[in-house]
Amino acid sequence: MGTSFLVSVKSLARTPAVIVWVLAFPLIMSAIFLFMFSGMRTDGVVDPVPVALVAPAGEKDGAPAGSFAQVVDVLAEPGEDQLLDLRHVETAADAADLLAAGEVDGYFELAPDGTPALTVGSAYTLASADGATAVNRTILETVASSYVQSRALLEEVAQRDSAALADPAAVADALGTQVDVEQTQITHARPEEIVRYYYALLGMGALMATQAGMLAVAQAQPGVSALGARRAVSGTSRLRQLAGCVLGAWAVSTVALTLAFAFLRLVVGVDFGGREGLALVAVAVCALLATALGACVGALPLSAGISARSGILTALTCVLSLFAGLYGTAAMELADNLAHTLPWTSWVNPAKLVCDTFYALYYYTSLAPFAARLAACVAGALALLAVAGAIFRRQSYEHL
Amino acid sequence: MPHTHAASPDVVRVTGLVKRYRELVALDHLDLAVRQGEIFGLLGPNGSGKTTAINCILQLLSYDRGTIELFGEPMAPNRYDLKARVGVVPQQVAVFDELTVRENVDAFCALYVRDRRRRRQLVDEAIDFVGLGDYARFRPAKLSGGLARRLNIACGIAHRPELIFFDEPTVAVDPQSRANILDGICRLRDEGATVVYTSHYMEEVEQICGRIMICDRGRAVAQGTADELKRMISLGEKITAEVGELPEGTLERLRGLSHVLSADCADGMLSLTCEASAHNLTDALGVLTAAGVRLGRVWSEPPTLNDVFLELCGRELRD
Amino acid sequence: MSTFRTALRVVAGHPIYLAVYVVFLSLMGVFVVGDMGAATAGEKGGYAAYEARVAVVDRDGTALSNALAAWVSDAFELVDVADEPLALQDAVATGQADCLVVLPGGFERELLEAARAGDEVPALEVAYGQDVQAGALAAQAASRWVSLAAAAAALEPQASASEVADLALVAAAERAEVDVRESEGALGGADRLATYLNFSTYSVMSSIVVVAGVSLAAFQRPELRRRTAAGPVSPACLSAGQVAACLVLAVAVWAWTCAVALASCGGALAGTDPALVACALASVLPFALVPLALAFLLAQLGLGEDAVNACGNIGATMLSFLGGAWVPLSMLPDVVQMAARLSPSYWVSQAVAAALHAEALTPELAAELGTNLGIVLLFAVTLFAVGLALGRARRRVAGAA
Repeated sequence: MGTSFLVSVKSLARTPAVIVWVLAFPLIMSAIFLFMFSGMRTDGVVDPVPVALVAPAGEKDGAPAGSFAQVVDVLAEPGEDQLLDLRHVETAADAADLLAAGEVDGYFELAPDGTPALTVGSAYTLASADGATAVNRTILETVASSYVQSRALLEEVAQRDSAALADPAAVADALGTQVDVEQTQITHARPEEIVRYYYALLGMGALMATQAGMLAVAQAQPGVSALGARRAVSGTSRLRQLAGCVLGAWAVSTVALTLAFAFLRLVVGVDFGGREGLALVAVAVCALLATALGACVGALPLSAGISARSGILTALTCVLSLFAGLYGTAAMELADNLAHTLPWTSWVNPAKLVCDTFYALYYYTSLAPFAARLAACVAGALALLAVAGAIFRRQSYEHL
Repeated sequence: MPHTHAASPDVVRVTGLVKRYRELVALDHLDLAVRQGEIFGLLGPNGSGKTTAINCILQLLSYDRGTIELFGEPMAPNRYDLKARVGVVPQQVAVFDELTVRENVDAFCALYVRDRRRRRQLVDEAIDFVGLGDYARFRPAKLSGGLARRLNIACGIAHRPELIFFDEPTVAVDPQSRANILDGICRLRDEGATVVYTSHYMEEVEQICGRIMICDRGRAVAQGTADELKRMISLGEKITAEVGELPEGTLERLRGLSHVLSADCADGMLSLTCEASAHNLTDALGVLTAAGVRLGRVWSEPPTLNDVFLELCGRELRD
Repeated sequence: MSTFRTALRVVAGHPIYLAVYVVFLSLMGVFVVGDMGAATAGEKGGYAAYEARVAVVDRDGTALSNALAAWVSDAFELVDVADEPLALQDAVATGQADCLVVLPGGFERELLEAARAGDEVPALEVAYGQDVQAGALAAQAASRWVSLAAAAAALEPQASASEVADLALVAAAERAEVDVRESEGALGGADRLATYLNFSTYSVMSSIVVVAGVSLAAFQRPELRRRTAAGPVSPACLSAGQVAACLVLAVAVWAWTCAVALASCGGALAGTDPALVACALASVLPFALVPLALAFLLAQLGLGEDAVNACGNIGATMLSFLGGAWVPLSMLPDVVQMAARLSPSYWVSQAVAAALHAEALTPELAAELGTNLGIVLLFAVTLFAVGLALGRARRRVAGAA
């Protein structure tokens, strides 16, 4: 078993396909992701919405208390809760120019009675296809609506009981009530979409590592390669050989995945919620799951060569990564919906399971979900290895 | 060596062929002539230049000096008319893994024969010829070593070439398949093809080849029929005898006989090698009886091609 | 002709590659593009509010807290979440909810009392999901609703909690007038197609490199090469047959991609000139020649199936990335944007964008398309020429002319 372990490690480490798929590919993908996400914000802070307020020069100073201009000014005050990035312009034409240039997401004009009217640009543009502008437009609309809503409230109250509005100061006080928002964090680390893509990438990396397990086992298969035939006739029992191959492939894929993990953590700067030690345990366990899956495909009694088995694994990797949400927002939504409606799928899809293992470490304050997923990985690995072992033992030289 | 021109014209004629790979001289003024309708054996240790010679003849390799003629015409890389009359069965099984047996034979035949109906007939014949009829729909990966070799042959001969190069076609093949392949090669000859055959198996070459050339270090060391080759070496007879114990001095006396080249005794077996002479056996028996040796079985053999090969090429390991 | 058929047969001998690369990857593009067209479809009609996903954790269970939840379901998309730590953490972490509004026990009582006493109203506790901006939007709107409720309570000191809730609901139903001016570069239905075609640079590239590469590489196996070279067919003729077969394959992949593109984006293309759509689809065809030329080059280098596979996948990932298939180029660093010009996928995406953003097929547009696609073709021709030269050099080294 020791020898087959060493032979597996050596031959895998010297196989270009393993270097490319198991080691280089996740690193290259990480680097691409790094570039992809470099333009996206990751600070978790609200970006003030750029907006213009059309206010003729004469009226600029001394906006009356409770007026829309004053409300907007308060929201644009620098600070943690700054919601608006306000610019004052003289005319509507100036504001329209700013909007056309993309410098503001909209502008407010005030009717003589103080009612604000909002003008915004298109929600989805080439420069902002992700819907950020659509959100910002609605924030502006909420601000503008607050004015009309206050007025609607007064009208409604007046209809019911005109006496209620007798004291103007009380009315102004009441309308000036502003309920503060207190942001809390209920997860272990701050929700971050980008992190999830990196975790999905680790899921894909783990599935790529299945190639190592497949190769190690297929090369010990008499029906697949001449090398396997030679090994099959040796004095070492089949199961001991299988164990050696699997351990060798596990070692190689653990090293490869650890490197990918180190790259993500140190170069890309992906957050693992300060639980790096546990993440390394997860890396080793995920590598075991990957190796077991690979071993199973390597042992399958197909009349397929190594290339075809590699193709099967590539296909599996692509498909399963889709359901882990790797391929962008829509795929991530699909993955989330699937996980929500059919929760068991998250436990049987290795890519999703690997992704969720890191995700559990990152988000949940409790470590129980993480432990549950680790256990699922180990259980899955053992089941797959049992299947691989059962097939492997019975394989014979199936040529004519 | 007598350069006899028989009645049939030369199909392959190579003169003064030189091929160098930087310092290494792979072919050193090689001369070679293959006659119409014969099976010509090309013998030589590994690395002696057999495959290089074939590659040069087929214009797969450029060469530094020399001339090559096929069917009496000078061969050149773009002499596709000549190439069309030649078939090659390479050493390794060279077929498309993705295609079935039939598709493979068809694919290679199609390089030579454009007419589809004629090709279908040729492909069928080639598959029957190598006895792969039952496996026509199999992919090569499914075939055993012997069957794959037969497919390899079918791909090389389907277009009915006039000249066929077989490059060690029986490597790693069981005796039955080997007999089948050799029989097939003879049948091809009987049908009019000329065959150039390389192998390490002396018995095979001796069995099927009309004329044989032994080459070593890129040169032709000897050429002729098996008998001619055997006459070329000093060894004429090998005598073996069961002698039990051999009295002191007997070996020396045997070695002192004229025509005896060597005398050795091991495990009660005496072996003598002698030059060709009519009295070798009588002389040796005389010495042994005089020494009072109780003889068991005694036999005498003529030299084999193997002896010729080893004497001409030496016994050191190659490659 | 025979080489052509053999090459195609070799391709057919790899159904897994065909299924994974050609079929699956092109369908994956449909997921990548997602509901982009749907989001922009309603835009022509004017302003539509963004529907943030909001979960209300109601630990109060009073008239006011119920009314807040009712209003949320009206103004936004209300997400149902169980009030237990893991579920709540899940909701914000997986993007199920952009904003989680927590209404603690005593919410109604404390709000009414504070508002009527003129004290400071307790702050609204929220947790943001992944989309902080959308979370802030929902939090702002929710705090606005609670403020209205507080104002109503202050104005109507005698009103019951449900009357206060009614007042807040009625007031909050009022929305300001919003005027939409279409921005430059506003996405229309055609952009869904543009995005799909942009992505298809990935699927087209990887599928053609891998599938054609495998077929071309099959002819380059050493002993097989010896066999074909000994035959009476010239190397040029052999290559021509193989390349012709791969050309058929490239065109088939392109046609399949177009079919998937039209099937998935068809509905969103209602307002777009069919001639422009045809131009956009046709722009991908010259691009399909680039991976074909690359596959030819790789095969001439004598690379095996595995190596071709790796080059196809990684090369396609890189090139499509540079073409802006995964993330709009405008969001990438300047260096990457500069480097992108060195990739054919950039030029094809420029051509597609130009065609789909044009009003009609004008001579100017045709000239622009011609320039972009000319550059793409240049890439293909260069790769092919390098492949030819390498192949010739390799044959010469081997000795055969």
